[in-house]
Amino acid sequence: MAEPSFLFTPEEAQSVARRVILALEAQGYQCVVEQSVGTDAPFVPTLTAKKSRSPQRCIETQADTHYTGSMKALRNWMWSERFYGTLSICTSDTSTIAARTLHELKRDGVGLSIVAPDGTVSETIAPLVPALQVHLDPNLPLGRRKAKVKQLVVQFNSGDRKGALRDLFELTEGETRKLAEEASRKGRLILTTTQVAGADWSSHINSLASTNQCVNQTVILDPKLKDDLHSFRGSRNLIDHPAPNEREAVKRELQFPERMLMGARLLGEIESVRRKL
Amino acid sequence: MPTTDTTLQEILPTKIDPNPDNPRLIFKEAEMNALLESIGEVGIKVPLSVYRERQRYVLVDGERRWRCARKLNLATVPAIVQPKPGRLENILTMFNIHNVRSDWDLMPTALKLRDVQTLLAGEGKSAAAKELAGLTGMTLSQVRRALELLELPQHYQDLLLSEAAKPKDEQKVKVDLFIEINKAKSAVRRYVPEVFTEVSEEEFVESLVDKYTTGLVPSVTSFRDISKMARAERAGEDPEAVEPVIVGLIRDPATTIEDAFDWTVRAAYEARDLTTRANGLAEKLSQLNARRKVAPELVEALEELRSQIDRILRTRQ
Repeated sequence: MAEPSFLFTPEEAQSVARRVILALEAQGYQCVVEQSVGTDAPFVPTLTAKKSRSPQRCIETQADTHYTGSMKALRNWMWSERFYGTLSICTSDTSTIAARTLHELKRDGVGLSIVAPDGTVSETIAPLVPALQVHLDPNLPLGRRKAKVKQLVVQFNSGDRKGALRDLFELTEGETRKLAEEASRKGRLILTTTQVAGADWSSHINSLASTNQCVNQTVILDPKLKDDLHSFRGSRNLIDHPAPNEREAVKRELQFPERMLMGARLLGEIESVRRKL
Repeated sequence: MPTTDTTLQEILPTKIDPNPDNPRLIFKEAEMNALLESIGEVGIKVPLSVYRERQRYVLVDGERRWRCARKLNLATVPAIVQPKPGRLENILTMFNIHNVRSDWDLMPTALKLRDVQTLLAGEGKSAAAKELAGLTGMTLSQVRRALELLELPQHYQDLLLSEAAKPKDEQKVKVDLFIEINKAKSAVRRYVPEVFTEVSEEEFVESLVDKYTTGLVPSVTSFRDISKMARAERAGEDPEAVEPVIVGLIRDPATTIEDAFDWTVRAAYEARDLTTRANGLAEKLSQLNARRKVAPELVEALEELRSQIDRILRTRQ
């Protein structure tokens, strides 16, 4: 971009902003100064940077690091909007940062970058993308799997989205098999435990929802739960097959949180069914 | 108090422009954060003052509040819409509202003062420094400093303007440089005018600016030594001996002010300084009551002083 013209950025923060713009442009970002990220956003960051297929970056440049109430308001707005972008503070290497500020930034998923006089920008705290974060419903009856699911959510939110989702698929697959085995042991399925052990996830779902394979034609999984489990199983393709292009990769990534929540909900429903066996 | 021509309205902050006659306002981060927090909590309680300009509005008062409103993405701000002032009235209003002059860079302020001078002259009124100070609320010395800048060659004025647009910590050439060089130039013109028969005043300024920008002059206050050299007579030195050294300083890019000062008047100024101090000390000592107990530290210091004085006087004999 041409020499940026600042209207309401304090002058101490302008030199930091100029250096950040140069660094971001070198990474292929297009930067705009002092532009709101939404008509009702409560704060206008110094810079917004966009790059194709990447979350938008909102950066507040400061000479002295302060996580102000206005910035917190923007952070809360971004999270309530499930914004596909990040919020960071970028400051100079001479700035002093209070330990409390560091704690608050980490807690709120707000990033912190430091600009050196030579223009190099180093990321001290990586910001989180609200659109890619999940929060568990605390009322889900996850039984003995609660701790494991919580751990997967933490793993997901901290950035290892594919790994967490893959583990959740395996967990749900295992819980479906255990449900089928228990149903077989308790005489609710006409299949033997050996037959259950030899079947795959899809067969387990079908058997548990089939009037022909359930004793007295009383299905263990209702049709909606069956469909949801199949849908969840099908979405395994999101991670098992590489995306054909970057655009598809971003599209898939945006589906991950929804699938993560779906998986947790299905585990809860399987647990409820198991308790009623 | 608003007149009947003024109205209080809620206006989109994006429809307001800063006042073109307001020299660049420096808004510090800490101030802005404090005001942002306050406005974020309770909103804008004191309306801005604006006047209408076609379909938009121009700020008269409240630039900080307006900037915060933009930063906070406020939908509207309260503003008193007043009639559009005349140019002179507008500039003088800017001067008087922004009473904390340290917020303004001196060069843009000087240019505004020139506008005021021109407009006053157009109305047949006096535009002397004293009148300007009275009208703008600036101190007389600030007005004089600003007017001094208007005498600089245009390229230096342009340089200062472009520097003023940068944040303070990025400014390499500041107004103080030219103020100090001008003082040195005035002293030379007054006490050693022969210098300017050898070199021109422009050459004098150019050479000193070059010495400063190349790091040969460590600080703008170093130029004060040129004034001291020009006033060599005060220290008991011959001004005629100083003249070729000042000319050499201007002509030779490698000569430093410190060198020139050493070659000419440093010893004389030091002698004058010592004489003043010695006289003061002698007077103090004469007031000391010898019968009262004297602190051992003072006795020790006086003995050391006596030995130094004896050493100097012996070599003189």
